[in-house]
Amino acid sequence: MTAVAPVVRGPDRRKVGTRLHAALGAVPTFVLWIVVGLWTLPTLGMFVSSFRPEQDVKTTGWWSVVSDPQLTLDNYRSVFDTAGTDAPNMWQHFLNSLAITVPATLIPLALAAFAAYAFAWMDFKGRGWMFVGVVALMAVPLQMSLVPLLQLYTGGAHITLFEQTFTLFPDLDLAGSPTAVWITHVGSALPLAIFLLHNYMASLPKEILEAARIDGADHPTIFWRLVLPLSVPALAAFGIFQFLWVWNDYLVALTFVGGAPDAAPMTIRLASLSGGRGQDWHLLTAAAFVSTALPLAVFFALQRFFVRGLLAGSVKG
Amino acid sequence: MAEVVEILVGVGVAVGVVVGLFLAANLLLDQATQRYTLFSTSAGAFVGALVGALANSGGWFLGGPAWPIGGAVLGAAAGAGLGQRRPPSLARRRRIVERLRPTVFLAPAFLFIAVALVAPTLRTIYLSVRGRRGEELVGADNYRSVLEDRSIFTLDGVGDILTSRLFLLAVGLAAVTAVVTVARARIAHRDIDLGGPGPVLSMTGVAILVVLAAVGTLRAVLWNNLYWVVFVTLVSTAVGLGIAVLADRARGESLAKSLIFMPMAISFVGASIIWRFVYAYTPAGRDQIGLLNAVWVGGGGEPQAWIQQAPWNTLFLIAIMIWIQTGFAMVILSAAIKAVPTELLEAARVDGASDGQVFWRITIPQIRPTLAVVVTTLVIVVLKVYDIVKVMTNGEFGTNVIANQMFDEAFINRDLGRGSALAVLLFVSVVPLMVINVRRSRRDAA
Repeated sequence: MTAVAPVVRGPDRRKVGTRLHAALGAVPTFVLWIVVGLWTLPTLGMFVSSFRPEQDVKTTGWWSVVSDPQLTLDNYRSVFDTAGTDAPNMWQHFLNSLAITVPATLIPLALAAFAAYAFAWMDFKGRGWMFVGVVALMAVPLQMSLVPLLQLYTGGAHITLFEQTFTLFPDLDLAGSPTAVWITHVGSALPLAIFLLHNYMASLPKEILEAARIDGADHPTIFWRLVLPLSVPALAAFGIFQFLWVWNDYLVALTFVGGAPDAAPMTIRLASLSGGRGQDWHLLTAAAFVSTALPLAVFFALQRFFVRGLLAGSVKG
Repeated sequence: MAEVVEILVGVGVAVGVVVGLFLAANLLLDQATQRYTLFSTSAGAFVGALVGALANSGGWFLGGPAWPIGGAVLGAAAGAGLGQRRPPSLARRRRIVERLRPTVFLAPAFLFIAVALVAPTLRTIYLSVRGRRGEELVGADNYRSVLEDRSIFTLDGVGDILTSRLFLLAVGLAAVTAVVTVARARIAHRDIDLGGPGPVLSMTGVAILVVLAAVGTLRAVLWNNLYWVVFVTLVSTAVGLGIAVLADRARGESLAKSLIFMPMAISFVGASIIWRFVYAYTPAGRDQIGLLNAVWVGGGGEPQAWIQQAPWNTLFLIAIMIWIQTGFAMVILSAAIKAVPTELLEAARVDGASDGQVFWRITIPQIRPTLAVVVTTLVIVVLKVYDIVKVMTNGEFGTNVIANQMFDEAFINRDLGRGSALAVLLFVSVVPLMVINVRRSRRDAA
């Protein structure tokens, strides 16, 4: 509206000022897009290089693709083709990633939904303190659980009382299996999941739940029929967050399946490629893109939910 | 294809067991008001089976299913007897349901948290005061040996900070800031204003210069973690805020924000490979394939092996984390900026405030709580940094950090005591942030 007003009033001096103002007004946008360009350049470099022939990738910069556009799918073929080596196929690593990520996303989602409902809508002794405990646990570094959990997965947990040994946790020989990885992820994800879902469920209008109670609905009914359907946005938000987190995890996987190449997820394969064939940029870039393709697709398709999840976790009040 | 099916079945079973147990427990609880004997019998069987299994696996007898089944039968009998002989009043049964329902909702999550989070955390603390294999008590020896390890912690070079050029520059900047601030206050006949953009920005600059001076002279694992925290937190928050402001109502806002945010979807390992390629080095005379060296050589420099040259290589690793986390800061801060009430901004403009003043005096104070959240979240994430260092340098060339040192001690040197002590150090440095988080959540709940 300020753009129209000076024209109506007429004097030329104002018009020039407006034009200058408009030009200056474009500066922030210009700066923004320069920053965006800088931010995207590294990823673009990887993406372009993954399609260039090996010789080109190793001898010329990827930006020379502009003057010499030679593209090939050979790099992807060699990433997937492991004939002649005993290394597992990239497809195998993809499946391993999936076998870890899906349970590590769905199970905390279910467990946290139960617990979040209890924290948000049930009265019981110690509710406040338990919730404080959950919030505090969110910040505990993963490193605190690695050594004991590896011991647990390889030997179980035993306690000796009155000269009798009780097995608190049987030796299931889990190390080297995806199960060990996802159990660890479930444990470490639950505090954040409970926190996020609780915040959302607690913000649902009280009246609906009270009306349901008056109609005689008990807690399980309210949970399944009312609160869970209403909480879909929060569930989706945490689900995507957790999916990306677990898919991209390296430390937990390295600790528990680092010695078992057959069970290793993609991040492990990628890191070992980087360590072992660090100068084979044509393979590295292709492998890096293969491993990021799914999370990137999920990210771009469901970004709205992801952002909402981040916000629910951090912006309150 | 067979494998995909196998995975799907496995996942289905795992999720089904979790949800099924929850449903069954709730169904069982529902019986307490109507068919109390059924409830007490099955509850008794459940408890009996658990106790039996626990006793059995200790090896009292031969093992096998006999113990849990026996326990279940005994428990069921006891429960049935109790339920038959003295069934409680309906009001009491209702209270039992009321009391047990939260347990059914909380128990599954708490079980996982106890097994995979709380118990391991306590055990790590316990292991940190015991020997290599956790066999004998050694008191604070692990902590002592870790902190006396000069690659982990040292004060050598503290003195050199004071004489380094960066430090002198910082002192100069601080002096200029002080003089200018005082002079401006005198001229305008106002009190000295330390909260204005000038003093705040230049004091931040001073702080950065001092830390840079430290990077140049003071090197050890613990110090490196400090540098990571300082730079990633400061730069990601500042740049994220800057982009959020620039993008606000700009053309193509959502696309621009998505692209900045995108690195959040890439694994740290993937990001490290992307950036190793940016930092790639080929000897002088050949074409540079790394973007940074290409620009550097294009500007007339000699090609550099950026990630191998201490002390500044740490900064090149830190840049990767900044690249990833800026998107996070931007998304959160952008939402906070949009939530600032428009009336407030317009009122300030009507009063004649410039854009800069509106930003500094209205927007920033309004989003301060969110800024605090971003900073604490970033510090918690960055303290644990592992993947980037592992993939880029494996901790060599003076770039090691606590998490990488911890992994090496615990799983490669197989010294559980020292490894656990390092984990506890990490934990202790997170505790203040934990307290902040708890306080904030209590205040929000109130």
